Amino acid sequence: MVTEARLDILGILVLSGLTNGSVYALVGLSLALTYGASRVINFAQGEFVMLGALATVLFVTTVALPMLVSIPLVLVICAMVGLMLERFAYRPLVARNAPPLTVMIGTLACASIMVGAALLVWGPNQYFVPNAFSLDGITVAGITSTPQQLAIIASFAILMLLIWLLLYRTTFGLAIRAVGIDPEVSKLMGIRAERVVSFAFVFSAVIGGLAGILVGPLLGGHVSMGVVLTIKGFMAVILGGMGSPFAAAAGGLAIGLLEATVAFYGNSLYAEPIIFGLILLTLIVRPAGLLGEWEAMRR
Amino acid sequence: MNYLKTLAVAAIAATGVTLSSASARAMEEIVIGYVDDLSSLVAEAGNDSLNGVRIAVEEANRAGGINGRPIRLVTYDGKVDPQLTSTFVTRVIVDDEAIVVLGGNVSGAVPATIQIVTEEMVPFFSMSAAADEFTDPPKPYFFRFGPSNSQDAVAVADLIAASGFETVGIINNSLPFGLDGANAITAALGAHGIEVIINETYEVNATDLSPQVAKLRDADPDAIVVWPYPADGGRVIRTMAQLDVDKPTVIARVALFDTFRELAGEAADGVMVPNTVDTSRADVRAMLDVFAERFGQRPPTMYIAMGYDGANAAITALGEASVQAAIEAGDLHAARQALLAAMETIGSFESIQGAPGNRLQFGPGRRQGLQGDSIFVWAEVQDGGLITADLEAFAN
Repeated sequence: MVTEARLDILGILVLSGLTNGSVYALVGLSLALTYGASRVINFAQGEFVMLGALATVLFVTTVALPMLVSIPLVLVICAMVGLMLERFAYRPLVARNAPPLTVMIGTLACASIMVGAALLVWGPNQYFVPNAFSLDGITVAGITSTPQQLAIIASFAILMLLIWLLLYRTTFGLAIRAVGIDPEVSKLMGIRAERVVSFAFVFSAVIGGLAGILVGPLLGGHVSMGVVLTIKGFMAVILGGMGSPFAAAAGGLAIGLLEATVAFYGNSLYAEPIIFGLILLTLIVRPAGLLGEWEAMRR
Repeated sequence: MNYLKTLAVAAIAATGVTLSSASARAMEEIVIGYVDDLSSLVAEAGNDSLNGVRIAVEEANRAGGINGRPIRLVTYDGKVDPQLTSTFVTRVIVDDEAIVVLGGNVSGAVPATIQIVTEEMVPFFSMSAAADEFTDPPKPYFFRFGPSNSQDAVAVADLIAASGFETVGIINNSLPFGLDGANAITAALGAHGIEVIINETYEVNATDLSPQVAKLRDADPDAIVVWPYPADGGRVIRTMAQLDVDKPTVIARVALFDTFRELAGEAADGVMVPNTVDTSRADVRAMLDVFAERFGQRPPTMYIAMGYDGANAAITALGEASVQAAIEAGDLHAARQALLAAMETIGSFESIQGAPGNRLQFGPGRRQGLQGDSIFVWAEVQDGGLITADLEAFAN
């Protein structure tokens, strides 16, 4: 009986950690994808989650389109905004030899512009984001969750697989990795590095939008919801290791599982200081992050 | 050189003319400032209160203003940022020459605001920022028009005690509203001899709250109190349903917002919410009808009522002879001081909150307007809406 109860708790903690961790991991891996190709942290990444959530409200609630039609439209909008960010903020700054820090401030400016524009379209209120999957509880093997939460974990797992296939089983993936290691040499090898960077921004924006569609029904949609997610995603990137989406994803999952454990055995109030303390300790022992060196070797 | 001197004298003279005409202009109209969150996490409350203020100001202006002077409402969006709020409070006082400033739905921004209005000696009428420390001990320039956390807590504790529950579990977010609320409720329940057997806190943006709710379930209290913001409150209630936590539940005032009820869905049915707006009152219904016509249909939240009450109290005090004399003389500082004194000498103000006939009571050393035990009416969430609470069903 006691063992059953403990297994139930363990299941709850693992599922909760994976759900929260998958959200952080999705943002983290999209940050890492952009960083890998451009050596710039895109501080507007969380805003694509906001755009995904609120665009779902626009298409499903306001325009009354079916969810299956709305999802591709939401992703197309996110891709277009991602491309605009790359064309009108990243590229002009890089063309003028702006240092990476300046480019990052440029992405921060884009984040503010996106929030301001969203405020004009959706206003200041919090919205209920229509759910693609049911929010009713289901029990599998004694553990209760919702299809929406399980979809977050499943989407994350599928995306990881797709990104792995893209990076390690296609020629374009080889080009992405080459640009990540040395853009100048890769250009000499005939790789069009600027196309790789454009792809990274657009693909990351689409992942952010997908995260918004998935997490919106649980968090609610609000113009300012992106900032916290960017911070959590950035924490995941730092903990896992810069430059690799897989390391960032591992960092996100670790943070999610740690949060759930601290919440249950301690108090959520202290979760963030504990996590930041652990990140600091990890970085002292492994300055490149948990998987940074391993990923660097793999590349 | 002479040319430069002439230019300097002309510039000084022009500045003097500009300043004197600005001062004269300020006294031709009465400026009321409003600084609050209008676009961030607490924007729904901020905009409801602001629109309540607008209704009161428009009514006063339609009636000819105050002694023939129109009221001009100047608004700024401080979001949930104390620094931005401080900047705008200073601006509305110094640049816009507001005689009184309203706002204060964001607890985190209120301490900085209190510091500024105290230094500048300008009365500040606060809405729902509920921390007890803002009015206890009283701050000379700070007046609150919504219930304090301890008043909320006493109402919750009274309901739970009257329902015969002996143990309670509290779950709250880690923001000042959640933490202060949980402390106040624990103290109020303690006064009834009711034990809080578990108190869980969670991070407001967490997607999954199962660990905290699982602990709540395992503690098995008789009743549960939830002290969240709207969206995270929805997640708590949904997670409770998922983990089969079927206990009588009381939730903070944020459940009055549509966002909470939409996010919580059917899981919120039967949850009890304290409100100060009694829609059975004819004057309240009339005001809400005007509000709906002007701003669209909104739930009957206490935030609207706080704004309306606060603005009407300001308008009443501004009409006092001493305030009018200072305005007539163009003395802004004296007008602000006279308004402060008028709030104490008038003391009792009409209110659309609480039971019929309930009045706001201010005075020397009293900055919490809502008083007594006729402040709250209980609402119950049902089918995504709000109905009058069935207190007997809650007890059983």
